[in-house]
Amino acid sequence: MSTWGQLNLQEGMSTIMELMNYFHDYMMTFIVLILSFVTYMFAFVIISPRLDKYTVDSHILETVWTVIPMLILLFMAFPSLYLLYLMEDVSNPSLMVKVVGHQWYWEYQYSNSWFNYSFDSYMVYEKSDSPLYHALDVDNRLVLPTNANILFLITSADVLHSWAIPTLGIKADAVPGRLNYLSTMTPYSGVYYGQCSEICGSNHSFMPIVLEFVPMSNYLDYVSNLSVSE
Amino acid sequence: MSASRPAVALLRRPLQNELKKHVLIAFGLSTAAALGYRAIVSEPRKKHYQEFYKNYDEQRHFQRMAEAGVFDSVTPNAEKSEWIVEYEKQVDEAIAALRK
Repeated sequence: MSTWGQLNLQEGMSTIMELMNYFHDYMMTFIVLILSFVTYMFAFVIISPRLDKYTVDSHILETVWTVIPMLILLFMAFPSLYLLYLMEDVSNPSLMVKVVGHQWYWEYQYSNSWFNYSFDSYMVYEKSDSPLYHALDVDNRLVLPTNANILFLITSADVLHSWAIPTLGIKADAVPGRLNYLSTMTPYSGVYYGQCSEICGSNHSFMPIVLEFVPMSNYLDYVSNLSVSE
Repeated sequence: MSASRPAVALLRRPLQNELKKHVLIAFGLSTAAALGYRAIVSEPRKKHYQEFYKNYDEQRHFQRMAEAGVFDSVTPNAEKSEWIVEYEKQVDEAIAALRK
């Protein structure tokens, strides 16, 4: 989750988010290059006492300041498109989870050929004596296995919502009447937080998302306990 | 007698001449800044991920978090493992040292 004073992206807990962090650093290199160049030339133009009132055109200059940005854009475009298509790739998901946005809670449905279970996930209001994260903890977390491709099908039952987990690098709009899909895989067990990311009414800020990634053996134990208790 | 040629050429296009010099300086500085960003931010971040991956033991990390009660789906053992107790002692000592 984000911490106070955090300016950068969160740590990447999925392979895609790690690649996004590297891509962000790559783009920032270009941004620093362009910003430094422009700032220096800007300062020079302001400070320099020289003046030229008679330059009306310069074909060389126009060629240079077209070709160089074009090359920079090409260097930026190829990794960007590579990452974009990699994010869209959904290959052999091991598990499918349906996510339905409501006002103002999330409903999760594990659904596969041998197990069908759904539950609601409401925000838990903090109490003075309980160590909860403000506006982030929920009563029922979505428990998922590590090292497994998981496909999320996201929709909404009423208004627009958006299901987002920044540390996994995933976000998709929950649109009523439409199914959007997301895929993720993480090798790290842990608890990951997210929040609704599309304005959906008065309690838009109070419908968080909490995922709990555990090793596959623990996940299967959890699921078998669920099906026993049904 | 040979007279030295007056420096007339320097008076022609002074802005353009100075611009050429400063464009090169700007290009050099901006390249240095970009390489500096890469060396200070990008490469350490990649190394940080690589180092983490090298020694990452999923079961150990999971067990540590499970025994700390982080997960709702996993009940922590009534008795803590020895290495957890040792680890927590080290963390407490580190916190006490910071407070001094």
